[in-house]
Amino acid sequence: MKGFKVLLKKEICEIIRNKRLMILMAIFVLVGIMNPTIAKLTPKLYELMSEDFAEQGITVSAVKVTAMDSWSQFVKNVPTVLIVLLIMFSGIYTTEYSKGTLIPLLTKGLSRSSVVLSKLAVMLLVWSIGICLCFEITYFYSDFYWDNSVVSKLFFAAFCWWLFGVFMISCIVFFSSFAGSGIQVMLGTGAVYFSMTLIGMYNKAKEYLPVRITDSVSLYKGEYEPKDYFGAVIVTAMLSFVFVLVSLPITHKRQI
Amino acid sequence: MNENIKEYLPLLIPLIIAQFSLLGYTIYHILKHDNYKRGNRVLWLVVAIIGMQFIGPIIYFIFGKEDE
Repeated sequence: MKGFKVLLKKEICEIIRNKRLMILMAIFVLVGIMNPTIAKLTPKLYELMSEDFAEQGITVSAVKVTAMDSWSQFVKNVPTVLIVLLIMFSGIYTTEYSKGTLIPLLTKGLSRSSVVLSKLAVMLLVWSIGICLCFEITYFYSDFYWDNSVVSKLFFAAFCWWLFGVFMISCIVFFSSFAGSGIQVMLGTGAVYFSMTLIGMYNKAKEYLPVRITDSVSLYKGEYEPKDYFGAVIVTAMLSFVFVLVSLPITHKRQI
Repeated sequence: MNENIKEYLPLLIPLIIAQFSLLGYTIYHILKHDNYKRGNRVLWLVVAIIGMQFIGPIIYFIFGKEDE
């Protein structure tokens, strides 16, 4: 436990000093502001393009923007931020293993589990704070310009996105326990996502896959209820837990 | 047009503040450090200023900043 606390401090110090925290937070805030901005500018863009459309024989009627547009931008942009976060953190374990900077600590009796868990805690912390920030800003502006009440289950949808991020982070932890470099970790995590999309083509499996919880738009429109997602939510939480749990013994056997 | 701009101000002001503070910090960081992962000072200044809409500073901190 003591080792965990010390390492956690070290990790937080590290992401502050190498400016990763600053960049990620800037991206989260930027995306949070951009979601309503793009929704707000949509009618203006149509107006600008309406002459071109008219030449081609397409008439554009007045577009009415609601909070729904702002939130569908949110759903569109969060995956991009998640990918940036995953790329930034893909080497968090493997670079330290390959550089050998952990050897002095491990030989002095620091447990390997605390290494794994402290890095996991930092990633979870950054992701949680970031998505909260992004959600809050989008929420505030959407409420300011339009009315959030037309969009249903906002908080549950945001929770689903958070959980999906946690799942992807646990994939990083799992692949880092045996992969040699950050690129391998990235490929593994990408393969997990890709195979999930492939399996998702079968309708029966679809309801229990983690990708399912990223379908927020149908939730916003009220086509699905939160109870339709519970299977997928439980599977995602369990899988994340198992990934982290399995990575502990593998890391113990790993040659550093 | 004036009314239109007023309507967008709550969105634009935070964006502009964030943009310029990030740009300012990036230029400060570039000028303070002599060595970069790749490229030189002039290149990174140009990148940061041309891509000042967030892209330049982010590219600098990911690809240009030296690991200490």
